[in-house]
Amino acid sequence: MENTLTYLGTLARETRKPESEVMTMAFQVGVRQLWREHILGRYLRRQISRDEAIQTVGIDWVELAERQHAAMLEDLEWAMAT
Amino acid sequence: MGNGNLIAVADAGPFIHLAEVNGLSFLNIFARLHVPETVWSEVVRQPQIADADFSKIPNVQRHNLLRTEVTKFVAENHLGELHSGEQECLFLCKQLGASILHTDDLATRDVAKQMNLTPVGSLGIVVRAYRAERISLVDAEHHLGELYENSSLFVTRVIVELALEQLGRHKTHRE
Repeated sequence: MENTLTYLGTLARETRKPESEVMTMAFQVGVRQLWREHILGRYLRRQISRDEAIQTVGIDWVELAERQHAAMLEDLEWAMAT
Repeated sequence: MGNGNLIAVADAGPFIHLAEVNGLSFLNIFARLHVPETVWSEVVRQPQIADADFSKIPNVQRHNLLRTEVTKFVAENHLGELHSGEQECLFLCKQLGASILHTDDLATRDVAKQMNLTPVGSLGIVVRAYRAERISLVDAEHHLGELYENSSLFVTRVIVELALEQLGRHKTHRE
């Protein structure tokens, strides 16, 4: 929380915007990120199709999630091997 | 499960990410961790890793590599897109015959697999530390969450959530 307040103050000062405007932008960015992660989660859990995920968050995010998912599965396979 | 003869070559990212979640000691699952000097220089420059933290990883062995040999290796294997530390890690794997490359970089993972190496990321190290009974399941879950919340590792939340689900399934299976 302390860091967040420091960031907020610094951003407001250095971008010369009121803190309320920075907070509004942060809220919008935060919700967008949560929404993106929600959609990627639904895709990786096979609750929605790849096409639907791409239409919602874009191909770049879908491909990145696929690569991270593959890496995670490889890591788990290695870690759990006897 | 001990560390046996498990050896690996390590890139800078995992040192940094594990240090950020207070998990540097998990790297002791390896009997020996080989690190190119270029990578080590990058690691010790990180302000988030205190000098005292390095005492937690006595298994690190640093290597000074001949730049001419690395350059030749990079050209032969078309590795120009990678950073010098990653290039040196791949070279060191080949030189030592090490089959495990510890890296969190997705592009480096791809190249490692093309070279028949096994890439392992920070997430894998945490889970292996649990598997080797160095930490409890609760600790493993905590550190996986921390990798998303408090480290500079670039990973989406869902990946960590799915890893936690898999870990939970493993626990149920063991019981």
